[in-house]
Amino acid sequence: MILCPSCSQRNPEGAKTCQACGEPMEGFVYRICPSCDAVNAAESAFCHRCLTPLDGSVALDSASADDVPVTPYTPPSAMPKPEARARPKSAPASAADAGMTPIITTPVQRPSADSRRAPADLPAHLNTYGDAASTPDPLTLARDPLVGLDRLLPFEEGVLAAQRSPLKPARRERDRSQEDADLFHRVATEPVRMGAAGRVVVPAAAPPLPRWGRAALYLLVLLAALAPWWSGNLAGPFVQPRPSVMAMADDLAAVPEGGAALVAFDYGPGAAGELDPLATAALQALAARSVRIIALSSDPAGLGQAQRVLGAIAAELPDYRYGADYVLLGFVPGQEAGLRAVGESLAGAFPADYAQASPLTALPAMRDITTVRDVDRLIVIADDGQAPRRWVEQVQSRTGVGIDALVTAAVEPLLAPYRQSGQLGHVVSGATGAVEYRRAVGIPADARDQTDGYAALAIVLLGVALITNAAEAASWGRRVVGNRRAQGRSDRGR
Amino acid sequence: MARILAIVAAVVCGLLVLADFFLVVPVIDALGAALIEGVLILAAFALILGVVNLLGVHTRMNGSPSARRYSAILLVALVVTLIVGLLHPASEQLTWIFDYLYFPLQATMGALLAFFLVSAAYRAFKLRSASAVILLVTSLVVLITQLPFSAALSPLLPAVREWIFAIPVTAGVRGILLGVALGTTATALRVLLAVDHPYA
Repeated sequence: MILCPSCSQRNPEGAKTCQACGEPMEGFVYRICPSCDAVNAAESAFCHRCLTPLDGSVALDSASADDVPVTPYTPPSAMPKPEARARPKSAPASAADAGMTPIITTPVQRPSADSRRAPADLPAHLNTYGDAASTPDPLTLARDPLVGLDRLLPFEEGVLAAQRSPLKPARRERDRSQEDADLFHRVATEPVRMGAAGRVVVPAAAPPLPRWGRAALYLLVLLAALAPWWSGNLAGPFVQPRPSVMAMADDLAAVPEGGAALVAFDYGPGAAGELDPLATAALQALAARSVRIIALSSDPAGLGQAQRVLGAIAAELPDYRYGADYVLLGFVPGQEAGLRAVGESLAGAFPADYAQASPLTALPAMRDITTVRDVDRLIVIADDGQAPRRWVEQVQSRTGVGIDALVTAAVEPLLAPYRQSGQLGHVVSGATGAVEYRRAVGIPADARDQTDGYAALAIVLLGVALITNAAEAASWGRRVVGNRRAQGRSDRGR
Repeated sequence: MARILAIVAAVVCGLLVLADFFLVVPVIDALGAALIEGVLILAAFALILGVVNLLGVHTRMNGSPSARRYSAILLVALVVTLIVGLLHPASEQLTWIFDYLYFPLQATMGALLAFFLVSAAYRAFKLRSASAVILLVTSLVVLITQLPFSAALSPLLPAVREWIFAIPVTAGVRGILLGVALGTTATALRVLLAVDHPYA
């Protein structure tokens, strides 16, 4: 009997294909002894345990290979899952009991009771489990001293199962060799990793918010977002410019009339509500003093933002014209490499401007400006921490030009080290920063500042944090009091 | 042989750009500038490759009916924007597409962040451990100082905010940045020493 190399199904000697899975049987590696069920190598002619011929003459003497019923091939995908196939405790002991057709109907020849060893011949520790009535056959004993010990020990089934289980991975020699070759190729060609990844800390999941609670929260957020429409700029009068905003306003005011500022619009429409007012406030103050604005973007969406903001400023200051006072150079791809090119030469990175496709030398706004070193200030407007970092690393570190950053409130903490080291001059953030800047430079408040909206959202967040914890504390207190009362009742009962 | 050539080219180019960063030698500066320009051209071609890949993915149309519908919308938007952008760069039509299609969609996605933020606040601001207490107290202080009238509440609040940003936040971010810088240096060294050559 030979084992299928694919599914370990037992097949009769000489079978060309597996009766269970249909895979070819050539290349099988194990034979099963029809007498004692021992596993033998494919090339073995006799069982290593009982010396029974392995050609099937003994085991299949009453049932030829043709008599074995063939079970139709079932593809692996259609087979039940292992847990589904596991036999429950109350399940029938055999396939026949369950009314199913067994795969192999040929009875396996078991050693007869009279071929077993005498208890006297067994080691002392095995006598407990031996069958005292069994009589040893001297011939059998001479042929194989282990005959009769099968299934003798209570744990033997488990040991045999453990021995059988490694058969599966070992059955496809060619596949395993291919896998080994693939693994070697991968190890040899894959870049060496710098070390194991750090431990991933998964925070404990908080209980989900009830549906009505989520609806209430979202309603509050909606009211906060609509606050600028009904609040009448309640928060505006309270805004006082912070020292950092005052310092930035002073530095930008020091840019001489007719000077130039390079402005990078590195943000998309998602942050426009927060950054458009800030950009407008800062650039409007520069434009009012005829400072040239040279805009560019390392974010593809930033071009549209630049057009919107500069267009709004030009609409308010009719004398501030494209080409003469401000120019949009375009989008520079390549992130670090792109900014490096900008730091080397503006004309090298932008052969022509974006709006008119004119050479930079033909634009009055670009007079006397060939590199970043020629501008008076460099302002980066960004909605993530990476863009200012790239500007610092690729441009500021090489040119020494001071960079100011106008960023979203969420990004400001990420830039704190650069501000402390002096690589970033000033960092102003958020919609509140826009109002502060307007106040610092004396520009009237803008309807787009939306200070009330952000203030209302901050209040909602504060309320959520406080109410959630208050409710949690109250619940905890009720539990403690309840436990104490229960304890008191229990003590009184005793 | 081709692999060795690729490694040599990468290592030489990397060393040249690195030398250009630190040295002021006209020849090296010119070489570095030429290499950077080459990178920009490659980056532009990478964008084209990205567009080609996007077209390849979404023209297969082998997903669910709704996925096919979205693929069709994406393809139409891509082709229209591409044609308008190529024929009329920086035109009113392109500005219209940005102002009335791209901007509202992106702004809507950005606005949804507020709702996610509040849901996250509900989960994150619960006092369950010492770390949660620190997070809650810090968040509350920063949130309060974000309010325009925070200085009116207490003149100390802006100073507390500045302290939080200057000391604990800077320390944490600096640690992260140092780790990133060390990792970048190690990776660059591996590439320059040809230990790693993912390009070949």
